[in-house]
Amino acid sequence: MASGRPLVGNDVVDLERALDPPPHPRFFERVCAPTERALLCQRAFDRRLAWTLFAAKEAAYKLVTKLRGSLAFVPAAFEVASDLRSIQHGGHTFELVVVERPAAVHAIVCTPSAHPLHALSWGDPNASSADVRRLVVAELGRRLRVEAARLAVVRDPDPRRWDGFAPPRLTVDELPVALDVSLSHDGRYVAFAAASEGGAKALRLR
Amino acid sequence: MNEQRVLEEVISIVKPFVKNQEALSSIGPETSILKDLKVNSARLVDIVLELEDRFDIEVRDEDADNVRTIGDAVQLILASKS
Repeated sequence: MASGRPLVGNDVVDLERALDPPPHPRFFERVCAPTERALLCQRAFDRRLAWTLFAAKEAAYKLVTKLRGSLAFVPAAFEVASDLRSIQHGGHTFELVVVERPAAVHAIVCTPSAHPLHALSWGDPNASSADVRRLVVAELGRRLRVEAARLAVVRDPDPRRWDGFAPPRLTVDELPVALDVSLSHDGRYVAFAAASEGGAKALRLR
Repeated sequence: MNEQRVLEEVISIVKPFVKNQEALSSIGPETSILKDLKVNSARLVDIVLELEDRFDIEVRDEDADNVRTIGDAVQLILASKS
């Protein structure tokens, strides 16, 4: 399953949207591994922690599908460490970064030592994938010192995927960029993560 | 329970989780739950759990992952009940 290149997956959860309607009473029992259920019991069911676990699983799923192609999403098969710094799946361990906002959690999962760049923004109560793409080209354009208009996020057709498209990739002037990206939106929040050879420094951080 | 009745029940279960309300006007067996109705993966778990409760069935995670359309959900239920 090893790829060698840095890979990322990310997922954002709008904590207010997640309660409307409330999740099924068995939701977290179903999606959590036994160790995660024990952790939730210890913390008297911390709602933020519960959604952090789910976001981490979703982010890791996005990463693993880049390595393996098609894969059934079985949330309980992804196991988050109790310190929330790593997540395991199928014998592989990935790094986990959790960003918290008052009403959101953003989970970023990456291959070891990928040092991903990530951003989280909010605005429109019904954020769309177009909003995430705008954030990506604006933020990465600034980091890469490339006009945003020259950047695009594209998805190639892939019939193996649930929506018929491969994971997103970044292009400059329609040419591929050696950078892995992951996009997410939920409720009013939009987020992305990116990783390249050499880590965030290679993105010419200002 | 016949197929039409199951279809109506599935639609009633899915409705509260739909983000794209416009798509509800043409909802049917071919409607994609994720793509057309914009239901996210967390809500899909809620829907599967509700299907289990309402139809008294157990749905394996791997089978749940194959549910792409309303019709897929209907067929999953009918297969579980047969």
